[in-house]
Amino acid sequence: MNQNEAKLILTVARPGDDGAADPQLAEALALARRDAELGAWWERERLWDAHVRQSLTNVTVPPALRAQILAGQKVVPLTRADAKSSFFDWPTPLFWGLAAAVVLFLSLAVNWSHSNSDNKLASFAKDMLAAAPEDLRHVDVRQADLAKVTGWLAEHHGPADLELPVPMQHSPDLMGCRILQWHGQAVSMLCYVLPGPHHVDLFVARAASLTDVPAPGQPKFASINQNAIAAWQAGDNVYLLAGAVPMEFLHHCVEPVHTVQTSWLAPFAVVFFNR
Amino acid sequence: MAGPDFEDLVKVHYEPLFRFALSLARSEADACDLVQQTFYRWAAKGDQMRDTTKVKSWLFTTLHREFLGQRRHEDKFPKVDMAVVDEGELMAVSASPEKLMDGATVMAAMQELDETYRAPLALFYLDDTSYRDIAEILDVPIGTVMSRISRGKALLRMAVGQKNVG
Repeated sequence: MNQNEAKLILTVARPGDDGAADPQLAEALALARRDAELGAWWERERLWDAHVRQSLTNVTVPPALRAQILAGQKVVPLTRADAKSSFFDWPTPLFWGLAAAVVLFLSLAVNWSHSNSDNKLASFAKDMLAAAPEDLRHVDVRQADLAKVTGWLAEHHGPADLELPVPMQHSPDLMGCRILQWHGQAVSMLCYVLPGPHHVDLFVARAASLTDVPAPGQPKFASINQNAIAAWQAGDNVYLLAGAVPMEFLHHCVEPVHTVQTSWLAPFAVVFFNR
Repeated sequence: MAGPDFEDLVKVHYEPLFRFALSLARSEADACDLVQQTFYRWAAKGDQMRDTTKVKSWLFTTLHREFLGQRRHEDKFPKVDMAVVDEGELMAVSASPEKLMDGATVMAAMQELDETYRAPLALFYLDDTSYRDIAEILDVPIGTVMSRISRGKALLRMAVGQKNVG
């Protein structure tokens, strides 16, 4: 072993490692004891490493981080084995009825997706799906409290005067929120975690920013790139609910806001949002 | 077989993971996101792990992959405007200024290095991780790790020296 080979081995040695478990390191250390020049280099190297290690250890970890990690855990059990996805447990007649509805929705989607105007709902939907993928920046704030979420959205100039469907108003599955920009306007995004690997995102923009907002009480449904999408208008806002989930699920999310037929919708809403 | 308790796992590993994330991501907010996402992954899948001695390696490997995935995504969607959370409203720094400055200077110098050297060097300095473990975490040969740490140290010396002069 020459001096350069020894340096390469010594430079990755852990502090206090005497080479007992690594013959190459033991040989390099022995050479450093015999070779004064190498020994001096090794001493300087150790001092430098100790200084850098101590300096980096002094970098403060945000005191809130640990609590944030532990708080975030509460959204996780949805993906565990004991979390039940009861969507496919629906009564068969209802399932087939909704399946037929999906065909109708898909036909609407064809017309919808042909629109290419920048201020159209389809463009808005495509841009939002592209802007909010499943990455670690999916939300700006992890927060399950809707009041706090809307407060944060308001502070950051996003639409916060939300008129949500009843099941989404009291959902423990709210994971967090984010502000996106679309054509210079703030868009509020709320993320809900669902059973299994699913989640849905709710995008809220000012209705005036789109030219083809669905009429109140007449939500639109479509599919884009394997994402089911529902769009509706309430108050001054247009709402876009999207996710890689069965279309029927969005249908159940949206309809309570426009109808009063909650007697049969409620059980399903409870399953998804009020477990 | 029951895996490690989640709270205990966080307690033991979140600080070195944060420092590793900070060296990679270059911003405190992004580093926090990386760490949270790593523990999120653990909570979702980690309890399937049988060999509990691999937990630390799994966490660092996952964080590194999350970082690479995030970087790929940013390359793919560079035009999207995203609001940045005011870091002050999420967390406060409580270290003494002197210590923070010292560590911050070294960290800032490290963050200037190319990622090729940054990741192995950060793992080398920030945690009691052998170069064999580093090779496994970064999925590169052991010899490559050794040469990158060696070269990275030299580059770090230069970067720190320039900051001290400046």
